[in-house]
Amino acid sequence: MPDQERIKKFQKQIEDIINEVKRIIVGQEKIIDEVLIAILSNGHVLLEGVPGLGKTLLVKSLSQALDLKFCRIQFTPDLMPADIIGTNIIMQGEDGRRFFEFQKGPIFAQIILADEINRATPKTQSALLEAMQEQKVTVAGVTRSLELPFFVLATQNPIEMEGTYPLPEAQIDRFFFKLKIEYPYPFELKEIVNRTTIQELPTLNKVIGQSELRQIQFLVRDIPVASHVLDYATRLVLATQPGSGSATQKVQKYVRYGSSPRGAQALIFAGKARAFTKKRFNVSFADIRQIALPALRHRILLNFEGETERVDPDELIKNVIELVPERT
Amino acid sequence: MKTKQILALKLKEFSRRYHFLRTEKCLVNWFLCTLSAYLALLLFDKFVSLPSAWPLFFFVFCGLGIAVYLILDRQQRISFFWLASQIDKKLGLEERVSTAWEYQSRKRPKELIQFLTKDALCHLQGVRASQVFPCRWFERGKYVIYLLIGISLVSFSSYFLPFPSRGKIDFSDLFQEEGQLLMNLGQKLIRRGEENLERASLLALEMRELGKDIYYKNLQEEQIFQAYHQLSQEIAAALKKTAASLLEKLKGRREEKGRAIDENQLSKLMEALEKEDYQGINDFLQQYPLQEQIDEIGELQALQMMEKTLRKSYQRSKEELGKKESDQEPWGAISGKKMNSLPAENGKDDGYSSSEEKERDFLADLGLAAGSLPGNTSSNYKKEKIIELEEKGELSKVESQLNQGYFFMRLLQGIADTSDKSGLSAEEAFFSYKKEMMNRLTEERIPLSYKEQIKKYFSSLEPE
Repeated sequence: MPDQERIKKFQKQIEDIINEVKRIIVGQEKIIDEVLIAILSNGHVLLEGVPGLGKTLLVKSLSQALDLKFCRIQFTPDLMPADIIGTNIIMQGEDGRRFFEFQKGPIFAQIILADEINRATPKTQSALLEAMQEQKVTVAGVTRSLELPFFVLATQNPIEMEGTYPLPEAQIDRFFFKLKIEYPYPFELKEIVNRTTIQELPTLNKVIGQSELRQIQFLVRDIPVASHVLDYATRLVLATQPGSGSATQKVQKYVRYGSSPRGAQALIFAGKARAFTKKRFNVSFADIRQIALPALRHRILLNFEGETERVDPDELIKNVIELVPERT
Repeated sequence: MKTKQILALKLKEFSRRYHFLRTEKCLVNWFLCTLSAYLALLLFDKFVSLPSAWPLFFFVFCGLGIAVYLILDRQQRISFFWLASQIDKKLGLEERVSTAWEYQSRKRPKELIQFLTKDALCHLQGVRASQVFPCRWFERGKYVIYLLIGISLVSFSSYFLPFPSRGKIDFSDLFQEEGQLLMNLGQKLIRRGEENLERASLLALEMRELGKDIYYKNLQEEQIFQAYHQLSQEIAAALKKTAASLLEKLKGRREEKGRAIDENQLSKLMEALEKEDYQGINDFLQQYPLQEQIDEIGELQALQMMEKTLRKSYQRSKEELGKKESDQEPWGAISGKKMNSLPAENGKDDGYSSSEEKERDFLADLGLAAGSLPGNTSSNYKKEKIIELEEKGELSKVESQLNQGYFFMRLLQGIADTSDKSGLSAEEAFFSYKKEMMNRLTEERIPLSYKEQIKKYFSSLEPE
């Protein structure tokens, strides 16, 4: 039974995490919020943005504030699965006898930054994605659990498409959020320059422990959702499916496959987490609307017409939000 | 401002809610509930004989109550949820009120609901919780309230609605007791008075039949009283005839020589017979037992017992039903003013009937204790008394007396001057036919109105 003081403390800690990260990251407030929402929902994030926008710094800062083990994996075409999950190597004991010992890979951290995930081969990508889904890895027939909480924040570079292996839709679907990092505003840029050129970046304080983070994750799952809010989330997802009958005209025209049920789950989970970060105990329509873009944009697969006309899935989702009423 | 907005919304919502009774859903629910209640009643009726049609209405209204409850509950949940969401929308509360309301009304316990409710109220400063979260009426006592509503509805309806006739009418246990009593007495008399008690045994047959009809609830209330009336008239007529016949015999015996009977006493007996003072006759016969010699005496006593039993039964039934004495008093048909004036009826002390002691003596004469016959204890009389008497063997005394009458009747028949050449008098032939008729009426299923016609026909043929 959570007491009110404890809940207040948790909410304060969330606020502190955001403030702490903001000491390093200038701007990108929405991204910080959404990454935190994904973490509270125990989901993984796909970050998309041009280089130099602070993706790695963001993830690193978060790991410091959350007191989680951080590890960065730079994905390259020659990266092998064993490089991620680890491998058995032959060791020699003091008595001269040799034996195999499992050498843990970088996946055994708690916050993984999978940088430029689309540069690795599909085999390597799938090794990571399996670990993301199961939170376990199996090497030479031995299954090892990953330490919880476990988050993967993968980045994609939208500019360089040469020599990349775009993630298949089924694998993209496993990411809770897909966040697009935009260029900073001029005043933010000025502040970034100021902070990074005058003095060294400050070291962040640990705000929350691992066990507390787990407690918050459980608490977030318990946040009530009214039936009409749930209904709204479901209708939003259905409206992105061209064959559902409730799809909008644009969806019918440009979308080949709409959001999967994982999209609806993500909407509700994220809605709960957002409500908690906003110090509320219920999910509102606004929560659902706010997190609809990161939760659904990577789950909408455009058809040929959509591809040729360069339709942005974000526009389609905004259109759906606009047309689907809150109450039937 | 917030309070005004909320109150306005509530008013709108309440006006909307009153449409619930006109919805199809309500009718369907009511129909299904009533049907199921009725079927349950039918099933129940197979095993238990229901005393009245009251439970039917009770169950019907319970069904109605449940249906209304279901509708109300649903409507309340839907409409108040709508109201809560409207409050959220109008006041920008981000679904706080509606979520809290929904989780409270569905009784889905969530640890965070209490915080949510507090949070919602924090955003509604100056507004009471009861204004935001509509009160949930009928929490635990709702079933009691519905039961009370059901009972009230039945009570009201019993004043305005006639209970349906179901062919088989439920009467109180009183009628059943009376029916059993008449049936038992009739059966006893039939068994023991087959030949010497012609009139009495026929009437006993009728009495048994009436008892059966009452016991098995084949008659309605009015019909029962009509039957009482008719049977009492027949008994009165039989008493008259038997008394007349006895008088004739006594006159004949007076002329016989060498009789041991006192002339004065015989004159008194004849006088009592002429006056139809049956208690006086009884008193006389106690001193000068003639039963061994004249079988009409046994018949007279049996008829008296039947008359008395029937009268008491009638009075008890009347008392139980709370009816006042009316002009339809069947005992007026019985000749002799003393028979009409029982203390139970008017409280006057006139003649033998005013004295409980005399009555007890008379009944003891018949072989029945005073308290054994119904009527002495009126409404608190229990049928167990009869059983008790049977166990004690007191009823068998009556039977033995009747057997004595039978024996002497045969004796008298043997010495009688039988001028009828056929060997069977018209009266005997008539009674044998009438007995057969009564047997048929008892054994076969004949409509009541036809039975009455048949009985009237035979009554018209009865020799004077």
